[in-house]
Amino acid sequence: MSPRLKSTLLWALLAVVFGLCTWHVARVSFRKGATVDHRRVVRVGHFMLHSGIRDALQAVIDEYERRHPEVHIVQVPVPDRAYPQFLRTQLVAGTAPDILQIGAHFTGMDELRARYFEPISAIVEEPNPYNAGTPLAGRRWRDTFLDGLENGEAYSAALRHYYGIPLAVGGVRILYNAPLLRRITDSTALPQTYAQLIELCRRIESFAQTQAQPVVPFAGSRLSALFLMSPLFSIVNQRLYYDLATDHTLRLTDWDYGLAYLQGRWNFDRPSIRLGYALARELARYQKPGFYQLNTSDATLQFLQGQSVMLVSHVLDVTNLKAQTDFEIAAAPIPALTRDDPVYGEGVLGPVTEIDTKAAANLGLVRGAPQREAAVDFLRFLGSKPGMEIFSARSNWLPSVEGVAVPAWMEPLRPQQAGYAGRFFAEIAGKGDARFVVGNQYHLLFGQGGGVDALLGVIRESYGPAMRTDLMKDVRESNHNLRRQEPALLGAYLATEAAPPAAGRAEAGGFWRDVSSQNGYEARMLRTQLILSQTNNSP
Amino acid sequence: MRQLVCFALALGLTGPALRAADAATARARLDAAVAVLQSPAVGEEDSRRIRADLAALAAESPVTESGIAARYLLGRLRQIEEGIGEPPEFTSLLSEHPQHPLAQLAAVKVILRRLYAEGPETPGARLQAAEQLGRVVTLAALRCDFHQAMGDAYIFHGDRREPALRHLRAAEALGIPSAAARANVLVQIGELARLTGDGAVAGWSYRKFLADFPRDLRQQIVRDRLADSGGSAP
Repeated sequence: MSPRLKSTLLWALLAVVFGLCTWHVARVSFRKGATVDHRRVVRVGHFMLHSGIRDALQAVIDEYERRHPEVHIVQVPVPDRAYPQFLRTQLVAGTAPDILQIGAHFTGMDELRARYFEPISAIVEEPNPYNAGTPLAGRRWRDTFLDGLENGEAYSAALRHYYGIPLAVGGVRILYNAPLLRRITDSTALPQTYAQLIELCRRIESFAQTQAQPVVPFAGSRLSALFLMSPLFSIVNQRLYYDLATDHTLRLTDWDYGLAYLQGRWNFDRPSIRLGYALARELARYQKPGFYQLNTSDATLQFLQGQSVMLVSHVLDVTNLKAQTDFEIAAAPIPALTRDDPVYGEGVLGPVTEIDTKAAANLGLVRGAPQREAAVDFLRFLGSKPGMEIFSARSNWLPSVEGVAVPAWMEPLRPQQAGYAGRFFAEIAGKGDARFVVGNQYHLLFGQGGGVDALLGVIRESYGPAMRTDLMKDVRESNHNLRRQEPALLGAYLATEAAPPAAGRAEAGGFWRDVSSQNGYEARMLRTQLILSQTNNSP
Repeated sequence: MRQLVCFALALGLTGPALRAADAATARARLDAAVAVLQSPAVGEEDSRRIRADLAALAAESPVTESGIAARYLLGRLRQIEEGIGEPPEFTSLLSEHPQHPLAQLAAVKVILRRLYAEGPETPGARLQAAEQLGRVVTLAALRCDFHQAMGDAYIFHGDRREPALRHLRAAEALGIPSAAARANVLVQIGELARLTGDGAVAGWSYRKFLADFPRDLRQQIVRDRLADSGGSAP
């Protein structure tokens, strides 16, 4: 075959294939008179694959599409393990959906937010038109969320911008098997006080023995145990907490515990500290031996199989649990200790406040989204009272927007407003390696033959040096951050010719606000450095 | 004589243009130095070169905006990298241009370092020296920071409540830009006023905190303190 004929045949083949493809596309597009979908398509990428959540989001989408027939919203659900890679690759390639769920814990999220997400600060400063005709009408959109959008996903402190619209509010509750509880106690209500809770645990143990049923009070795992013990340990230490805030701010930062320890203002032999650990050991008795080595899914399985009456869990997991079982699951707050408790009451002020509970599951707007206007409008609907009513009713997630009614069984999930500090247990070891020095020794507290003295015998020796190491590292990192900030700050000064306004601080621009933040940050670092030097010989 | 007149005329015309060109060059050098220092990949060699360039810039045109900014940046690098509390660049800036914003900022930075420096100086002497130095800080934005720093330092060095309260009230009156810092200062004012027996100021500050920070974890404890000092919550 001559090369010329070969070339002609190849071109002819190509033309036939092209023709076939064109015919196929035309046939699909115009079949029986139908036209192509001319609706604007907004895609929403997220990793909320829990049972019922996609349906709940779809219910909001259906209502939105009914109101806006020209728009079509498409969910792009992605498993949470694959989501960080999905996020980065789609954003870098410029093929990302218009709306994406934000995960503040993802590595490099601030960088991704800065480069690929559009700040919505100006949008959330305005009232949400979908709240018209509701009690939220006319209010700044940001203020209609229960947390004021002050959560790490919705707001980036580093970038000083809002980026996300949250769908739910988090928190921790005791979930319990209501029919099993009724069998044991003739009641479906959980106790109100700690003393009554311990009494209930004893009854459950007695029931298990007399009925020969393998039932324990709490489904145990490392995380659920800490969820239970942390607020109660903290309540026992509330008076100590406020005593340690010697700067008169009535609050402690993560590093203040370590600094106060090095200054000799508390130690592990303080009565309330010992009592707190004694309480944790008491609670450990009512979980299966070895619980501290188990993970959350082990505890969930115990609970779903009826091997425990109670499970301490994150409230966002309730929907998932309810979908997997046929028995009634009820929820209650962790019973509080009271000031008149004969054993633990001395350091107690009252229940732990959840007033600053953060909202979760935030959706953000992708910079340069092809359907930006429609995407913004859909976010407005989703984050409005009418939109959240649909979502919450279907998802069983606590609504993130104010004034949205929830069914009676969800009322106990709502954050407790009144109350006092409650993070002593979680914050005592700071934010560095000392957490592992302390956390890795709890088997000495919980194990058979162990106890408070066994635990304190070890951490009494290791806590001080570990905190010192962490604090020195913090000082080094802070100094490094100052070094990085300095040219940037001067660059901002030069760029804006930042002459401070004569009218005073209220009119001062971003430069002076940043300077003020830096001054506070630097003062804290210098104080830490001085305390470390002054306490060089402390344990 | 005629030649002299012509020369003076030419100098008069070209002088401003030359000065403007010099200023533009100096600013470009400063911008370049700032840009390089901001780079995460800046190495020690680059840093040394930039610092030498900044020093040259400061020496060549010490009274221009670029020269002052170069002196400030050099002083800050000395503070942060070498731990020098009062670098010579700051001393000269403060004596030559005390009203310049960067000189005033330098004063605040020197005060912070002095307040928490290691060494044999007594807390009383540090606080007194800081008060003295603080007199030069007149810009409202920085004055507010100065008062906050002094309030915290009086508490840190022996819980000296009255001067701490005086400074923190002054800071609050000037307007603290950060919400978190303002919430802390309002609680501090309330607590210090309560402890020094000024129930009216304590009540005012507690109520302001409760109204302005409704989602703060300290709502309940501040309500309790307000009730203890005879007030009622808003």
